Amino acid sequence: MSTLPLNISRKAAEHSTLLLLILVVVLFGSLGEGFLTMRNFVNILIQVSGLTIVAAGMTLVLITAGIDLSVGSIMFLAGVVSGKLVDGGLSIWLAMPAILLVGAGMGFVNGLSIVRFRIIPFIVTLATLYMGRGLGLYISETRAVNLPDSFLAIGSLKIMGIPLPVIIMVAVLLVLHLLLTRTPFGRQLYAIGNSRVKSEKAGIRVSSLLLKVYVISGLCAAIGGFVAIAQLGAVSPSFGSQSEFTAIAAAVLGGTSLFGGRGAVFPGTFIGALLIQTIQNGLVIINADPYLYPLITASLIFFIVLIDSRHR
Amino acid sequence: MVSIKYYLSQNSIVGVCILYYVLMALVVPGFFGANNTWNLVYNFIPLLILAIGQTFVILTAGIDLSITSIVAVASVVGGYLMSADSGLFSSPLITVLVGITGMVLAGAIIGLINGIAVTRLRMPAFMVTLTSLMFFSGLAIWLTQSKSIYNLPTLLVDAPYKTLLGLPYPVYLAGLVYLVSYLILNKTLVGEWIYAVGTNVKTSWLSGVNITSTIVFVYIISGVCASLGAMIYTARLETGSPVMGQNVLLDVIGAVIIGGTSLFGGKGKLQWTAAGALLMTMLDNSLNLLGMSFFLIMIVKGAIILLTALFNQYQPKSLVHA
Amino acid sequence: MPLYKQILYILWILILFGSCAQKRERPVIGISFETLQTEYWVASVEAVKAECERMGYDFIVAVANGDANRQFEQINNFISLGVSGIVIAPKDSHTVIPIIKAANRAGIPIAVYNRVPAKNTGEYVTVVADNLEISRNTVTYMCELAKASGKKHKALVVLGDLGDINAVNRREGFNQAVKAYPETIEVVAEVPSEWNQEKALSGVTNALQANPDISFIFTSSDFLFPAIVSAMKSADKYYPIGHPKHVVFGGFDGDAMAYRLLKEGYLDADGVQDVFYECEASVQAVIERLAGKSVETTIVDPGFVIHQDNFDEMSSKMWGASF
Repeated sequence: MSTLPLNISRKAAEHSTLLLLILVVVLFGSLGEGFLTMRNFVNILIQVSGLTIVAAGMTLVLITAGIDLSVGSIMFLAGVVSGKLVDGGLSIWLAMPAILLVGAGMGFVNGLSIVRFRIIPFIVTLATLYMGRGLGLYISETRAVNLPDSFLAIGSLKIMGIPLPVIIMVAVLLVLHLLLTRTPFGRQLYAIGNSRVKSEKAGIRVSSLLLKVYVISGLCAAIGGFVAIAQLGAVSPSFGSQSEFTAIAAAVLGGTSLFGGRGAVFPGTFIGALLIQTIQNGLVIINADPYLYPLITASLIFFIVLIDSRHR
Repeated sequence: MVSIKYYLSQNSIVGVCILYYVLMALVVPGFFGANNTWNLVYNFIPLLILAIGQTFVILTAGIDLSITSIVAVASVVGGYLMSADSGLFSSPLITVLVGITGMVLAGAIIGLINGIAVTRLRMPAFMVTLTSLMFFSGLAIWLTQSKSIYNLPTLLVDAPYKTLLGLPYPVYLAGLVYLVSYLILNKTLVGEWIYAVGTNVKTSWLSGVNITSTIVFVYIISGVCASLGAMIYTARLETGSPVMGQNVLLDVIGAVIIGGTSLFGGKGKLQWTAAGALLMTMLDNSLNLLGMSFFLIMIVKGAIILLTALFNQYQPKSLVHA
Repeated sequence: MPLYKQILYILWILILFGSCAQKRERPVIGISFETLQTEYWVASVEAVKAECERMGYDFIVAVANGDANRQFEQINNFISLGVSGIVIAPKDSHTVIPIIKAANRAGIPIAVYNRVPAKNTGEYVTVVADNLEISRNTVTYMCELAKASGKKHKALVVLGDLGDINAVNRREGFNQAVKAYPETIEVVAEVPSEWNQEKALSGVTNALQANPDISFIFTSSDFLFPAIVSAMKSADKYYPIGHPKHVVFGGFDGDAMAYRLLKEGYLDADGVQDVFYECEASVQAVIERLAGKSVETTIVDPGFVIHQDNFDEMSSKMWGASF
């Protein structure tokens, strides 16, 4: 089997992103005061937690050679539903299962359409992207949902000195990392991504696995959305839009292949997300021309994907 | 009768379009009539042109997410070249000709960059065009510092309403794009290559298809189509804008998909795309006339994309199905 | 196969009947909004609808979701439908020109809400708040407060979407105001929000990180308050007026959260657009045009600055107070 070249390319991709991350940190550290501080480091970790969680779920989908364009809409829908529930008098701890339910439900619809009706993931999740956002806007009446302070309290909660968003991120990363590397489930995901036909022949229950993967991605999107809104204190009608692209970019920067069969949640996707967030953070700290942000971010992503492709 | 039935079974989206039009004409006040028909045509044309370009790319199993950024860049470039504020040329005719050339060139160049990145640099089309989307949208906004460009020549802004033999100019533009695309896809070697690359890269390479130039070519076509769409948007809004067309991406891809063109490449027809784009236009128009909010229209569009995909899934398969 | 065909057709028919509109007896006014993304727009569209209702008109609402092109198409749909008049909150001041022309060609009166169209030959009425002036007055008031403290202040401004003329004007108003106080105010951070909560949150958090001594914050729109307040809290900067750590704090719009922050004593000043006045004037303009009366082309809402000293007297005029 061709595990050897795969391994090398994965290492190379991870390292090129890691190297770039170090370069970016050194660069901003020398340019901007207040960048290389413990506070700012914690800051970046908190800011990146939402994105990392969503991108981690996306990584699993990408490994199976699928794609989930609906994550941004799921983040939004989960946020709106929880906001409305808490506004309606429900306690925030009871709203939590509702968020998970929304994520799992949307993921289930995605998965079911993909495995039962055999529609390709791109189309299914494009459709649920439309529908999820439409539904969220319908529930919120297109208004921004201002959340009660209990949300912000959770967002700034610290357990043993570690901020809760970071704890949730680490927990999700740990679970998914173990799932991918230590269980038959994980190994089968890579197999499906490498060749669906061969996996089916080898007796892997592809349908049931894919269904689970999309449910996991939906769950991650909902959790990531929750972590983000717990810091924002509000759900704006544009919340999460284009997040699917950022999540995909983070996963791909972390060495995950869009063609399936290759990828890792940790360190891969985590490093990818960290790179994106660090650039955003650094540009603000050095007070760069706001118009230049997308140009710089896009160029760096292009550069990394280019290096990754060279090594393949 | 049998042949019509056969045609519709092979081109179900056309039947769906006709059915939808008839139903809406019966049910929605203001839908049927010369006024709204022209309205539909005007809204349909730019979407059609963008979707035709996208069809070329998708036929090779690629995707072009960057079209909205191309629309923005072309609109800004054209706006700058033609605006009386920059006053580059004195003759209006030369101004418009230079402007259009500039727009098409801008689209072709971005398409070329996409194509080279996908072929020579062997990067995945999704990521290439995604970074193009981010980069060139940002570039258009940065170049203009977010300011729209106006004072465009009357020759350009009146063009959408001028008629020749009873038909407005944009109809001819769309007709020309469709005709040229049809000839390329069905009557030339390049057209065969495009389908071949989409069906199977390896066998097409073995049978002597120049894969690199074929793929670069489709991205250039997509870029040029996007800039032609930008021309209509720019003319009818009388503005060169760096955020022009930023929301049409999903409608364009949706139109191609509900037409039935396969995202795996090799399978698809121009008339499917045209019907898909028409259905998207009619959905917007009819639901709008019914006073439906945009978020409800979004839900309906999503449902239609899903249902048509489902429907295509259970169609009698043609010989070349993916 | 036929089963799926049938399901498909049945679903479509259901969509049709589910959404089938009631026959309209009264004349209809088409209301087109560029966006409903913030409370400001929601309050506006509600006020326009209420005014139509009060004057005995039916209405149809279309929202373009930030897309000038879609808005142009929606207005053409209105015209096809044969509406009597149009009230539009346009995407920007230029793309509204062809829309005005289209309405003129169809002989339908049109009122432009919130954004002034660029110079053109069409016939229309525009109702607008003076964004530059209101934000300059608001920031000037804040600068006076800062000056009175006797200290030098480092300032942060949260910008809107720089593609939006009102955001540009508010930035300009801010700049003009602070320029008059070079001794007191030094602008150390311009945070681009693109009218987006998340960008505002990370931008403000990072800027407060880079410049921990910021003591003057102005946001180009009130709807960003939740994000800004959250960032201020985590930077230990959110204290009521009078507290030694209080940051001179101001905003623009006059929404519900601004009202609450003013009332609770966290916010120093807020530039308010008079939504009720503007919306009523827009509908009235269309109706008067329909009756053949002539109306002034531009109706300016001077707006006002609300602050701690005039709060009791002005808060009843603040739309956010009743939202």
